[in-house]
Amino acid sequence: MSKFPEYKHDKSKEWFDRALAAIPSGVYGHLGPSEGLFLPITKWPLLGDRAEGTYFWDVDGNKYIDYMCAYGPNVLGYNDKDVDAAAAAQRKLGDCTTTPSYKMVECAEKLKDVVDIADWAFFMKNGNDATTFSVMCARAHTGKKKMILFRGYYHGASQWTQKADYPGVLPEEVANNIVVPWFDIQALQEAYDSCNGDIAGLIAQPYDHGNFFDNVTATKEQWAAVRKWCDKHGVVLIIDDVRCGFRLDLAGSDHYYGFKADLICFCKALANGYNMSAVCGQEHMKNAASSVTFTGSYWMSAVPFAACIACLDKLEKINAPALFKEKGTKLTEGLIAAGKRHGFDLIASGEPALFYLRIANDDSLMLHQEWVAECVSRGVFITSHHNHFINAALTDEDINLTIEIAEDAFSVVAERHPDLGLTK
Amino acid sequence: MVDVRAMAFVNAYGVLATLENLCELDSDAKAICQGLKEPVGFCFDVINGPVFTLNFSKDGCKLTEGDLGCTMKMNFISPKAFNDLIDKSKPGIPTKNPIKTILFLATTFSKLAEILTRYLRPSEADMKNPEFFEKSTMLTMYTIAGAICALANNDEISKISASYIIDGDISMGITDKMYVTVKARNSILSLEKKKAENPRAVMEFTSIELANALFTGTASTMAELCAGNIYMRGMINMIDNVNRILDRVAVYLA
Repeated sequence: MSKFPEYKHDKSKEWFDRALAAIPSGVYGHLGPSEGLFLPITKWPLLGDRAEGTYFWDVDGNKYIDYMCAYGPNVLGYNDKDVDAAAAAQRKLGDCTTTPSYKMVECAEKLKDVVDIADWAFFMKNGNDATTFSVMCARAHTGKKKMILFRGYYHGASQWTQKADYPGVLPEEVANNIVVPWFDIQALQEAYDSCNGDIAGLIAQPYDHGNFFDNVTATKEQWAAVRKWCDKHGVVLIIDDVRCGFRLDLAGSDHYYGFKADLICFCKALANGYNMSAVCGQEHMKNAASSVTFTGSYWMSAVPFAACIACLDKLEKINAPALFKEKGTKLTEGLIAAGKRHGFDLIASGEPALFYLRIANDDSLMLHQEWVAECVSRGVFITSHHNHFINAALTDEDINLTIEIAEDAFSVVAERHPDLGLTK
Repeated sequence: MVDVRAMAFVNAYGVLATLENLCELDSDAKAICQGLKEPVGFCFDVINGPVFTLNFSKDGCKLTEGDLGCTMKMNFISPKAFNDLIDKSKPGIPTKNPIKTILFLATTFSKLAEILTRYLRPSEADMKNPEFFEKSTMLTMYTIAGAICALANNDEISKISASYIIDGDISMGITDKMYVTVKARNSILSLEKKKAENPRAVMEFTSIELANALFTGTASTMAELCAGNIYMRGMINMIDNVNRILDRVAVYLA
């Protein structure tokens, strides 16, 4: 018998039907049921009502402990009072204005202060803007054409970031991407030789935090070897820190892994949900950044800059990366132990601040998907395919409740499969 | 863009391979097979293309790789020449038992191909018959599944999708009607026309009507997923990549 009753999602369904009538796919992209892998969809909330701290409530009034954090932006807790106060104060003064606010300068100076390699900062709105700008900078700086990416890459949704077999993407649009295995120096060299050295840059996430498989953290030695290879060949090294940024190390994930990127891209955790992204770079990339034509209607809006400064101040004050590591470790250890008590081999991989979960009893993720669905439908929002995110508002009580609900979900799945003999 | 060589593989392992199922499902096709005086192994030998044999007997039709045991053989000088057989009924060059080969092609094979075409390119009137509707949908799914594998192994864009499919079996089907298994091994896909025993991923349509509506583009995949009419589980990244190849199938079989 389940201790935590299952949620109902009648209003979610009603709202989603309305969404389907008005919006392609209803809710498209990573927040929707297709890319978000809501399996089965009846167990998931589809539209939300409000959020606070580490929780959100769906339109049916169900409450969830949120381990996706809007897929990253919620880093301090939803509606953080300090960030919101800074944003509200700036909103009274002006936001989207003809002359950009001095807050933009303060924000750039703050990033120069916090991020190890930052000699300058350039602002935009989404992670995809940041990665695209960085690639343009690499080409402007080197006068070369091709980009190297590590296998399983994800750098946004522009055509160049996708693959030739994706709908709406032309082979020509990805023809200058060369994909190599992670940290394979020989493959890098072969890629370089195959195009007679016409390589502008290498763009990669700090470690392999892809979907559907155990995430693989990097080592300082691996990154040192890549940095050395890039230096030898004049290849611009870009770190896509959109997902990990400020969760591993406030100075940047390159700093965490002991090397210096030429360019580093930030977005999600930058302003606790206020919409902005940024590229920071070393001095030698500044002229290239100046030369690139890249702008947008809302890119110099002042409210997100004010939020960003307040967010970074607070992340520094609470030493957020250490907090995330501690909470992520405590949570995943608790989940693993709970799984073990019911015969499940739950594996947590990747960095604790961005932990990835997988039940390894089968090789198909089917048991894992069942367990995830039972967790979600009892108020713990996790996913079956993607890494998770810790935010600073998560308390030990929240973690304990999470483990309790997760254990309940383990028991439900175990009872459903008596043939597997899981429950001990 | 359609690649002529990849199209030849689609015609072989997608379209002609569906004769196997036609000879099980359709009574006229079954009767044609039962009327055979002796088994026939008809080999299609395409230079720089597929080489396969359709084995006809009273039991039906079975496709095998290569020319082993064939009793008749037709050579094609190129994939395009083979595609012309499918599109324009232009025969190749008979090289084994030439008279019997031409005769079989013009009679038995031609009749079966005609029946198959009726199911795969159905008229509105035929589709009003529920039995025909069901068989047409099932045969279409067999053709699509064969074409997915053919393109995964031969179409340059589909090969990219296939390269991201991890090893394992993908079960695809229409609930309680039919199932196929797409087997992925080292980024090469092959088809088994039966339900997978231990799939790593499952995609199932809950009704024949839904399957047909999806094949003809009259239903929204997203809406049906959300309504719970498309059942998916397991390594969804395998299904994602199969679906990308499916987009290519639509280009080839348009």
